[in-house]
Amino acid sequence: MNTRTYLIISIIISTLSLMMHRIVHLSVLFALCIVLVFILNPTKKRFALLWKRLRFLLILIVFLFIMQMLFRHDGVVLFHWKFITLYSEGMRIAFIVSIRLLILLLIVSLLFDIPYYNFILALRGWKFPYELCLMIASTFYFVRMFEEQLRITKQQLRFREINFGKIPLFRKFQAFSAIIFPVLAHAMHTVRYRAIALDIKGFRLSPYRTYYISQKLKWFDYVIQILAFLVFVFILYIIIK
Amino acid sequence: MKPLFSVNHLSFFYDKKIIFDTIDLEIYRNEVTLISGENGCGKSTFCKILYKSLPEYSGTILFEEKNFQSFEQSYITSKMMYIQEQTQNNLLCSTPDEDLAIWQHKFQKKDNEILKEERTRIFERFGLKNVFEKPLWELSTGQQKRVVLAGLLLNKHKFWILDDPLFGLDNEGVNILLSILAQQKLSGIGALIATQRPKAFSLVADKVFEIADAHVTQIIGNK
Repeated sequence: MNTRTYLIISIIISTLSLMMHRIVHLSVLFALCIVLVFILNPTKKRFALLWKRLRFLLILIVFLFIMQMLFRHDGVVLFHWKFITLYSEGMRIAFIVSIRLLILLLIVSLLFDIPYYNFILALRGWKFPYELCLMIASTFYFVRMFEEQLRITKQQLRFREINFGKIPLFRKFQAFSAIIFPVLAHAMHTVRYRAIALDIKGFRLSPYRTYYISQKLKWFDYVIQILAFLVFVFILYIIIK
Repeated sequence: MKPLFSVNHLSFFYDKKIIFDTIDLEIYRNEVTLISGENGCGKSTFCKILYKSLPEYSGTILFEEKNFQSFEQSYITSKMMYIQEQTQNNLLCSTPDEDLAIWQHKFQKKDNEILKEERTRIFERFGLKNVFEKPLWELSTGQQKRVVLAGLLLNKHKFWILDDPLFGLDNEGVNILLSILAQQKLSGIGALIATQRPKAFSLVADKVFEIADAHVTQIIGNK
């Protein structure tokens, strides 16, 4: 499937997730995201990677869920015990926020698995200026590089017999700053070299640019894009109505 | 002496391509063993397998005469030190001094004068006295490699697995590495070295194995 089709689906799903305010609708959208993850290049490695990414962010989602549930005091009382009171509106918002976040995370995760050069080709296919395409693609590239640098750091900690969990609490901050700063610095340093490489290759010296690889839309890309757009318009109509 | 590693019928596939086809060899703790071969022949893969970084292989490996699979990686890291091929992947901190200090304190104890003195001696030996507080990314590849190798002197009690340790090193750097390998051998601990330049280690090497066409052949040393 063409990257442009991926992007259209991603934009539609994320837009809908922001517009929908019913738990049932969001749950259907979430199920659709899961189906997409299964359909688009499903490999064991990919699922493992997806789980690894989500596992880290799930803590944040659970935290937000609890906060919304405890501190939103609208609607009818569903549960009361000592100082804990759960309200219907609080529960509803907690579910909506959590599902919405999960949808966005899944979509972003899907996009991160696309090689960054494909973004350039896809956006150029829509006639975006090359500088803008490169900037967007570079953002994805930088995040993936940062992820890789983090993986190397974790591996190196293991190799040096350092278990981050076992570091005394008062030394944890020292350890964290000693480790995270170089991760960022290394990633930025690599980006600097990329900029130098662009200069060396005469970036934007010529107004015209040729591409070694071309990404053309196939018939099923057109079908999926049109279908996705029609579904989007239909849901939008229902929401507004 | 009993072997540290006994590799029996080891096979390894990567992307449906066969890297090792039922190879057998033994590695001894007190010897310097070299693994040589062309680019992409599987030297680094072999090192990774022996450091438990690649768990999926067929055949059996015995470590200290016990099944290698039964060991946790934490046990392996306590017994061996592994230097990866890519120099930067071996570095953790911002400066050479910080990087070496972590080997010493592991965030478990406070840095002190004794540790600092030890690091100063190591930096002097590796010719890094003037750069030990510079950011690592501002150092040359050779200097970064020296910082990585300097870590060996803080892990003398371990068996070393060195993947392409000569990459980026100048002649002086090579001589420093050879001298610490010789010193290590005197204390009864050897190393496994993956290299494309086995001749550079002729003074310290006990055995040389060559990997070619997914098979391993011993070309130097007692069988």
